[in-house]
Amino acid sequence: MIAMINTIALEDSVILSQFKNEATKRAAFHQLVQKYQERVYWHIRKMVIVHDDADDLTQEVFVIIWNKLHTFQGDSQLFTWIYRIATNECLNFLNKKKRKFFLPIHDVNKELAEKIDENSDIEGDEIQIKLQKALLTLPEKQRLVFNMKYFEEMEYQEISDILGTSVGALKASYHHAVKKIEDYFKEND
Amino acid sequence: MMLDSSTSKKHPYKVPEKYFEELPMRVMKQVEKKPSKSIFYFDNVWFRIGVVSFAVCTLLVLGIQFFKSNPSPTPDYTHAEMLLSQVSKEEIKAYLFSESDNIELVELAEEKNISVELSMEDINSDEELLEEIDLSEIEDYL
Repeated sequence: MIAMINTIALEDSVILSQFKNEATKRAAFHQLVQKYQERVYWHIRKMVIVHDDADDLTQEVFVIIWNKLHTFQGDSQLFTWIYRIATNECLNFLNKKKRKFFLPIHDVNKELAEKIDENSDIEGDEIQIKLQKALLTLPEKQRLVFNMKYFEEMEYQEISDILGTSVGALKASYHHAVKKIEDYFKEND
Repeated sequence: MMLDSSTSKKHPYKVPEKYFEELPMRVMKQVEKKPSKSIFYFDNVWFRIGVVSFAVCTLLVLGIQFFKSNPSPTPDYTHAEMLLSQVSKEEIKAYLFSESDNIELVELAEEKNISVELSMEDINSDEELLEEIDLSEIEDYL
């Protein structure tokens, strides 16, 4: 059944409609995963750094979506709803990591920064790696805002819908993040 | 470095080969493995709240039962005061003289804040000490 599905991404409304039908539910969900997997994965990966963690979390996010999609009311875009779940899972994961090792956040970030040097699946030029290390000096939510605005080029309103934070606060957060990163680059030249 | 340069918008992370081709099938295996509806499990926050509530209620019921079956005796102070009022000061003096030593009396006096003027050197006998203490103040200690 799944193999027969064409690879053209379906509209969200079609996916949702097919998901409600038991006969097409699995095929529709397969389409949903194909459509959003990369955005979800990269959103998570930039937060947790390590591929294996990002892989586990991405699968977990889609399992949650499978279990909860029937409750999606369409009040927001499907993409916003999915991002919200992915963001929550990321933050939960990082919080669990902190609780597990009784570490304040900067130590978890320090550990993640070390992973950037150690991991074989991280290959970038010096500036890209330095930027990732600079980002790990930021608080988690500020890092999230920066990633969504800078790398994913999302609108402030979209980020606001996902994080439930006002546009003004997001602009201020992003501005401060940019300032801190530029300071980091000046100090580490 | 300024962050608006386009080259730095790339991130350095990579995924294993064919990762995104295989991920949908892996996810489908996961959803087939896991039950689609949430079931009762120990991580459930309502389950935890229920366990704590049950424990608190049980302790409360047991506590009430315990206090009901073992009521603490309440002293009848009215009766004691009435009895004490029938005892003369001389009899109290005699009791203190026979049953207490100076140290006990001084300690008692200190507790009633009347030791400022008293010290063991100043007191020559139990009788002198008793003279210094207002008997009405030590009635409660008898």
